[in-house]
Amino acid sequence: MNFLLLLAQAQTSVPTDKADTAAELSRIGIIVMVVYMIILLILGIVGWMRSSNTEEDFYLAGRGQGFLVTVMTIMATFFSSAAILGIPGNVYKEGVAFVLFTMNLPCAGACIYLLGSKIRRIGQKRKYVTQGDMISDYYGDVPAVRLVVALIGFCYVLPYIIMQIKAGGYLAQGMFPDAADLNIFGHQMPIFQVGATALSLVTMFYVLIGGMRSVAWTDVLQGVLLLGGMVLAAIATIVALGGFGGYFEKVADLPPEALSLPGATGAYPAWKLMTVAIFASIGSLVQPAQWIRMYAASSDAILKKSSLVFAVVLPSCFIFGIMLVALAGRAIYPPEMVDGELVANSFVGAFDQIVIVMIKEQLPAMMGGIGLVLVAVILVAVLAASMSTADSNLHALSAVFTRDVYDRLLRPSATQNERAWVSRAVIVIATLLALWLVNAGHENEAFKPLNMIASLMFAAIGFSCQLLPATVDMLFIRKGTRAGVVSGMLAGVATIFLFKLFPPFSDSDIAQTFTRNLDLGLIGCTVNVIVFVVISKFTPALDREHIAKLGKDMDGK
Amino acid sequence: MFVLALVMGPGPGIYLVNPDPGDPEARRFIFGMPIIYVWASFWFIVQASAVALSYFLLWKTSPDTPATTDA
Repeated sequence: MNFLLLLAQAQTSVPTDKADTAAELSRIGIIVMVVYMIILLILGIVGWMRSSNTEEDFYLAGRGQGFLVTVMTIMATFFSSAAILGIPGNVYKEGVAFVLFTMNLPCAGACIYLLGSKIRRIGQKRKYVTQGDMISDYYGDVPAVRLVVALIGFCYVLPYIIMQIKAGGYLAQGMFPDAADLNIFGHQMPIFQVGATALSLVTMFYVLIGGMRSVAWTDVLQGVLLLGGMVLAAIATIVALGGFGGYFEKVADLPPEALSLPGATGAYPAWKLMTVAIFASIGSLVQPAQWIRMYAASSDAILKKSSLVFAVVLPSCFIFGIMLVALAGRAIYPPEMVDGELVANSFVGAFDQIVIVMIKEQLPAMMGGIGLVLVAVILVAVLAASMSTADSNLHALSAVFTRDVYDRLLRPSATQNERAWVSRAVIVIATLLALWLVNAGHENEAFKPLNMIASLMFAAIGFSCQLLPATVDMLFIRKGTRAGVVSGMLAGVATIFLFKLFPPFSDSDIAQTFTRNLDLGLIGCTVNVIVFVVISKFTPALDREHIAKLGKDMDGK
Repeated sequence: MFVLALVMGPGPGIYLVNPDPGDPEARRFIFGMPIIYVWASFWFIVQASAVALSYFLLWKTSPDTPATTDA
């Protein structure tokens, strides 16, 4: 994401007359960050002490999650650091048009109940752990079904893990720009590597020892920081501008192109925004980590309550919180046209930096020492957002690989103890591999594997959307066939590749016209549904008795 | 109600109030804020109300059933 290139520039742009403030911020930042990391480790250890040594506990916290943990872990997993950097960065770039993106959140909230309650009921009754368990039980437990579902899961979780670790490196670089390299056993570690390593190892530690319980408990803290940071940044901005009167005066300076659709660069026509609102939200809810959270909730009532709170609280924090910061930022530091291209104001450095620049400029000047503490807390909230996404996806990756690939395809005779070791080994290997990729990519910007993964991240939600037709069929329609679902998902995944990751086609006029006006997930889903329906029409139907039994379990009858 | 909010908020309904950037007379602000922002806030409140109404009036929960072993 662009913001990864920005945090690095943020603190280096601090004027020299503010050097003392920057140094003070670094000192306070270290204290706040260390306290935060220690609390995470304590939560991880407490999670481990409260857990039992079973697969169900490691992956689903014993299927006993209460309301607060369920709603906070769903929210914290839903948003990565994009919540405070990327999304406000888009408002800063495009203007008020992108505020409408927020309307995907009530859709996602409603789906927590509409999809989640049925998924939870059958998951509880039939002891599912991954989405592959449910989809393959429904359509027939053949390798093709599990493999395609696992492939889609990997396409979603892997880029997220890697990019969040990278964000940790840039955040450390942004918070401590003048920090000297650390000498660890004779190896010089620049601050970027220190940040990425600290984020990875702390996250790996608590996922490894406490599984879902530790992940969910730390998500509560991270979710509170994320939501608090979004609201705090808005309050601080309005106060710093002299109250609502001063805020309205600043916003009145916005140019006409920032006050209407399709946005300053023309990127967001209404159809695009509406389809993104629908498909980005549902796609993000049927990804592996969220699916696992549905199984982990202890009752329908908890998912129902989580649905309401998610649909009301999270969008409120956006619309009446962080979006206000980005709008004011656009008025105070207007983007510039360079060679016919809209770029961020030179003081801001890059679009995704706007919230960081706003709070760093406004809070310390207005509130002195307390302002510095607040800036540090908001910066740690960005870190929390990264870690809460990295931990959930790391945990989901371990579940998908162990349950859907190792246990079913590689070693069907594996004992529970063996599977427990494999799942932990996956967490360690995935973390270290991701860290190596991030560090290699930082040392060499042309490092191809990391660049490919970065591209994959832009298509991640599109991939995840390809589980949607199968999900809707299982939960509501119940007419698809095994060949239909596998062909549909493969066709959908291939379409996403073609439209986003295969330049000979994705750069063509026809592909550009589609992706400019419609959400990528919708494009993939359309092809997926057509193939699914046609193939299902001409292939043998599933055993009706089996489907009826599963249907009763989903419907809670 | 929810679908209406989607069509009117981020969907084509926005063109009812979307100011033309080239028209200097177009109304761009209401209550001190950009009109698109106020429009988005209004339809978000409609969406949130629809979810709240569903929560209280439509959505049912079912009691848990014991696990089976045939999965």
